[in-house]
Amino acid sequence: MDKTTFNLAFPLIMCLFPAVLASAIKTHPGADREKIARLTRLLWLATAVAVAIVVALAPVTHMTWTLSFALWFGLANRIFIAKNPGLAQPQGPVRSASLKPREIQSPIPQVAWVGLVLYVLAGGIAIAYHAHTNILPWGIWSGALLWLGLTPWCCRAMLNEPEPLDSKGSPELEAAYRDSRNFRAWGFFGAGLAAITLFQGAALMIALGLGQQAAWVGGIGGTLVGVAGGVLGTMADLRRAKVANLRKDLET
Amino acid sequence: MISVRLDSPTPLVDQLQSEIRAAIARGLLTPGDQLPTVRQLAGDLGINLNTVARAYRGLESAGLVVTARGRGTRVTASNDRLSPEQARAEITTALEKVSTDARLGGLDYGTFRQLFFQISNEIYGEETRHG
Repeated sequence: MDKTTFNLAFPLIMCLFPAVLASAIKTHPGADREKIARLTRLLWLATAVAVAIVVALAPVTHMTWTLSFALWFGLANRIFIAKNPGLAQPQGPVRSASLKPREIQSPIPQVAWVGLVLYVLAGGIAIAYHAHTNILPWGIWSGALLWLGLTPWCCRAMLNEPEPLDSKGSPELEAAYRDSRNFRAWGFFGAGLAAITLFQGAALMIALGLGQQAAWVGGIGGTLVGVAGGVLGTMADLRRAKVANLRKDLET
Repeated sequence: MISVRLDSPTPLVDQLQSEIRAAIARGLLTPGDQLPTVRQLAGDLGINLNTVARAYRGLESAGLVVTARGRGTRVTASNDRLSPEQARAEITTALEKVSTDARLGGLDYGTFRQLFFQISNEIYGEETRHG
C-alpha cells in the first residue's frame, strides 16, 4: 500500500465508522424516532463533508482521520443515547443494590495472569538472547512491562462500575450486568495481551536487526490495536445500553 | 439485595444498617461473608460514600461486622453478641417503641398484628413452622 492510498483509505474508514455504526444500532421501542431521524440526517451530512475534506487532503496527510472524533462525540454518541433511552434515565427515589462484592467476581482465572507473566518473561529471555549490547529493544520491551502492570489494574477497574438493581432485584438484570462486566474485563485483558505482543514483537524484531520491518509492523499493528480498542469500547457501550434498557423495562 | 428510599424520613444511614441487619438475621449473610466495598455500594445506590462508611461503622460498633485494612468488611456474628437476657431487654424496649409508634400513627390492632407476623415470618423463616 503506497502512502497516498493509506492517507485516503484509513481516514475514510474512520470517518465513515460513526455514521455506519450509529445507523446500525437497534432502536429501543420507547425511543424518540423523530429526534433520531433528525440527528441521523445531520450525521450523514457531516460525514459527507468530512469525506470531502479527507479526499481533498489525502495527498498531503492522513491526520484527517481525527475528524471521526468530532463525528462520534458530536453526533453519533447523541444518536446512541437517543436510541437507548434507558441510558439517560435518572434513578428514582428507591435505590437497590446487591450485597455481593464484585471485587472477588473477576472472570479472569489466576492461570491467565500467570500465563501473561510467563509470556512477558519469555519475551525478555528472547530479547536477552538476541539483543546483546543493543539497549533499544530493552527500552521497547519496557512498554510490555508497563502493560503487564496496567492490565490487572484496568481489569479490576472494569469490575467496579456501578450496577444499580431494579426494585425487585431481578435475576435477569444481575445476569445482564455480569455479562457486561465480564465482557469489559476480558476485553481489557485482550487489549493488554495485544499491546504486550506489539511491544515484544517490535523489540524482538529490532534485536534481530529487522528495524525497517519493525517500524511497519509497529505502525500498522498500533493502528489496528487502536481501532480494535475503539470497536471493543463501542461493543461495551452497546452492552451497557442493553442493560440500561432492561432496567428501564423492569422498572416500568 | 438491599433497598433504600431517598424520599423516606428515616435517615439513609439507618435504612442501610437496618437492611444489612435484616440480611444477617434472615441468614442471607452469614459470619465470614464479605460485604461490598463502600465505593461499590455507594456507586450502586447512587448515594454518598460517607453515608455507607457511617453505616458500616455503626454495624461495626454493634459487633455485627468487622473491617480490616486491605481485607474489606466481613460479617462477624449473627446473634451471639448479647446474652439472652440482654437481647430480651433490648427487644422489649424496641417493641414498646414500635407499638407506641403504630398506635400514635393510627394503625389499628389488627393491622399492626398482621404486619408484625408478616415481618417476623419473613425473618424467622423455617423456624416459624416448628415453633
